[in-house]
Amino acid sequence: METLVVERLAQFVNNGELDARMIKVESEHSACSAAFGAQAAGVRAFSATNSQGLALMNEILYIMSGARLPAVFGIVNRAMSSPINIWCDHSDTMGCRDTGWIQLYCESAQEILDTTLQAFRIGEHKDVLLPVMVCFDGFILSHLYEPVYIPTRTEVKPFVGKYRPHVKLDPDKPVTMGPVGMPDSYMEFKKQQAEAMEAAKKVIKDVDREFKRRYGRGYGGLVEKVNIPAKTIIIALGSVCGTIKEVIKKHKNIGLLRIRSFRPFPEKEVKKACAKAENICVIDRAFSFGNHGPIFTEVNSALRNCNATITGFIAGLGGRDITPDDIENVIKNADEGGTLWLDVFGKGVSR
Amino acid sequence: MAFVKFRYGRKNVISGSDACAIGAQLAGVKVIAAYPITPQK
Repeated sequence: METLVVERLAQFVNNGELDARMIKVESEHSACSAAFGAQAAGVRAFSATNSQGLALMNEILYIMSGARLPAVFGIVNRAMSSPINIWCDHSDTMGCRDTGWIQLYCESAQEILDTTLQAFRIGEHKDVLLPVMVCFDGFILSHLYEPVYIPTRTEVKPFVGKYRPHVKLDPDKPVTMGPVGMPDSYMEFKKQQAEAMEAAKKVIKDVDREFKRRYGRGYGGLVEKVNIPAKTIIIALGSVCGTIKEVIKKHKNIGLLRIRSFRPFPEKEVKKACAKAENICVIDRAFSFGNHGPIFTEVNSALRNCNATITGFIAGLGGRDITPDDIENVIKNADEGGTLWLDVFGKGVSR
Repeated sequence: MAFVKFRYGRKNVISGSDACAIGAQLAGVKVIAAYPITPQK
């Protein structure tokens, strides 16, 4: 599915519409390694992948974020095998949420384009210098055709700007990149990485604000709020938020908090948005075996001092549709607490 | 942009995958590293 992204880029290169080098490799591990090398040499590098391919990149994902190389990858969210499944869920990116990459989740094709542009500004910001995953739902968004405003290169140029790497591999100015971090220095590297991820929160908000000022489209920075404050708040990410927005139009006192940035996690924004809510419903399109859904766990942590009932809903795994009826079931079971599974074994809701 | 299915006012009707690729193109990426092998002349 990511093939469509890189196929299109291959066409651009072939047609002379993009002055770039396509590096074709034998695995995603190599693709990530090649992107690492290119970024280290001082140019903007890009790749796209998903599912098992992203899992195969895993080793290099850590290396790239640790080396503070701000590449941007498009991730077409898909389920993990087995059983073999090529359809949408978020198991792939949730499985690498601790790799040190920024993760931004999109709801529409327009947001994918705009977020890809924003991602370069965010990752390359001097206070951040971290790689970014632009995540979007497999098939539901990757194959869906929608009207999208495509800016011209002239329009985009002043926003994205020229890439000026903070450090690069240059034989005339030799540097050491990727050295051993001994026990007396490794923790300092990781602390700086943690601080960069924290700093990214402000940068994501600022970049989105600037984007809105320039182009008239903004996405709320870290989170998008719809009808908040409300008695019941549904928290989710990705394309399902479009369905939720439609369903909550029919209800009073139900809001949506769409998490746009899962890493860094918008703890402060979640706390603020949910301060007056009685019920919080968290929809996860992934499951952390032996625990709960990943977003549910994060939200529980953010709202540890809150009196609201928090209920997690596992839904839409392996491409199963999350329908308006499913969202109605979420609303009906908003005060259950714990984790419930939606639409599994023929039951609307089960524990 | 031969892949554009049709236009809708000032907008082009494209897929989410196209949108991602166009974002990377507009940002001026210099290297695209990819598997599986993509068709290229």
